[in-house]
Amino acid sequence: MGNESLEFSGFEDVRKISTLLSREYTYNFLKLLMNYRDISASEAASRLELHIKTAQDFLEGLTELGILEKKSVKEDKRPYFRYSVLKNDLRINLDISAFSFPGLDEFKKKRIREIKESGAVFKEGKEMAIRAVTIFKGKGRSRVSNRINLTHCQGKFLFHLPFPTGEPMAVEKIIVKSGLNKECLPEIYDIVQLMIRNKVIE
Amino acid sequence: MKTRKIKTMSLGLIAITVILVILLLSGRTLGGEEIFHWVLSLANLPFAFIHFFVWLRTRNPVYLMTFPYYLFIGLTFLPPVHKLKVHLVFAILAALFMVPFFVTLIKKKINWRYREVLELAAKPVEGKADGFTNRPYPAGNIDAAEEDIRQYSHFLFREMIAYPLVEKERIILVIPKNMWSWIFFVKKDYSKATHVIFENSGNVSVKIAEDEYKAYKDELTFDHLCSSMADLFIKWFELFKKKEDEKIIKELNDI
Repeated sequence: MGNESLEFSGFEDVRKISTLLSREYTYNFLKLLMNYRDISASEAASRLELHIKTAQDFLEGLTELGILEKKSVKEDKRPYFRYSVLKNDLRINLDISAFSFPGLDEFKKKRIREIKESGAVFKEGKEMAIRAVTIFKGKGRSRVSNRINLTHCQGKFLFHLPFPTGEPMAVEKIIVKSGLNKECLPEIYDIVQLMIRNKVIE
Repeated sequence: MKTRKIKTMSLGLIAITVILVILLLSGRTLGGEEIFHWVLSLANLPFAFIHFFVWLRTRNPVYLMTFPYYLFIGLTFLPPVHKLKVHLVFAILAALFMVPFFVTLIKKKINWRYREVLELAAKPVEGKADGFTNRPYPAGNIDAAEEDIRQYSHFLFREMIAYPLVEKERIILVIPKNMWSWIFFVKKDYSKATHVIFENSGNVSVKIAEDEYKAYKDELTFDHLCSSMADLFIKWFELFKKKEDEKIIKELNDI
C-alpha cells in the first residue's frame, strides 16, 4: 500500500470518484479494502451482500482511477483478479472558477437581434422582463419543446433584445438599455449562446 | 377614398347579423305575429341587461340612454306584456329613448374602438418586412404620475378604447376585439391579447398579439408597428393630461 496522495482535480475524474464515493455501500467497501491485504470481487460481494457485478464494477472503477491495483490469480485453472489499495490518501480539488465562460469581452461587442419567425414563445413577466422562453426543436410529430425559466438578468435582457426587423444591437448596449450591470454578463452569455444554437437569435 | 390597412369585418360578425335577420323574418312568416314578437323581444332584452352592466362598469352616462331603449322596446313586444294596455306606455318610452339611442349610434358613442386603434397604429407604418415576435416592445419612458395613468385608463375604458387591468405597479391596457368578454370577466388573461402597459415608473411597453397582427392586410414591419402603437397611446396620454380628450375621440371618429 502506498502512502502517496492521489489528487483529483479534473472535472471528469472528480465526477467519477464522486459517483463511486456516493454509493450506499462505499463506506463498508473501503473498510474491507483498507483492512484486507487483497480481495476478489466475489469475496467482497459475499461479505457485503452485494451482487457480484456491483462489486466488480466498483472495484474496476477504483482501479481505473488508480486507487486500487489488480493482480491476476489462477485458481483451478480459472483466472480471476484480486484487488488491493494502491493509494490511501485521496484529495479532491475542484476549482469551479475555471468554469467561467471564455471570451466574454468579445461577446459584449457582438451585435445581435431576434431571428425572423424563430418560433420561440416568450412569456411576459412583470417589470419589463420576460419570465420564460419556450424553444421548439424538430418538426411535426417529433417536435419537442424546451421551456427555460429565465433569471432576472436574462429576462430583462431578452425584453430589450432588438426585434427581427430592428437594427442589431451590441450586447453591452442592450445591457445598458435594460438597466443591468456587467455582473449579469455571464448568465446573459449562456442564454444568448443557447438561443443562437437554436436559431432564435442571430 | 381612404386606404384601410385592416382587413374587412370578420365573417363571424356578418354571420351573427345574418342569423338575427333570418330569425326575425322566419319568426314572422313561419310562426306568425306572436313568435315574431317573442323573437323581437328576446333579441332586445339581453342587450338591455348588457348595456346596464356596461354602465355599471364604465359609468359612462351614454349607456343610460341605450339601456332603457333596449329595455322598453323589449318589454313593448314581450307577448305577455303586449296583451296588456301598459305596453303602450313602454312603446312611448321606447320611442322617446329611440332618438338619443340613434344619436349615440351615429356619433359612435358606444363603439368598440378596436379597429380604429389598429388602423391608427398602422397609419405611419410603410414597411412590409414582417418580423412578428410575441415579445413585448419596450417603448421607452414617459413622465407620468400614477394618478394621471389611472384616470387615463378609466377614460380609455369609458370610451371603449381599451380595457384596463389595474395592478399595484402598472396598468395594462388591453385592446380587445370583443370588449364585452372582458367587461363580463369571461377573459382575464392579457398575455395573449394586444396590450399597452403603463408602469407607475413611467415605462411603457406594447405587445401586439398574433391575431391582431394577422388582422392587417399586409405583413407590416413589426417593430415599427409596435413603436407606432406606443406613440399613439403616449400621444393620447399627453392630450388627456392637457384635458384635450375630445381630440382623441375626433381622431378615432375620423379614421
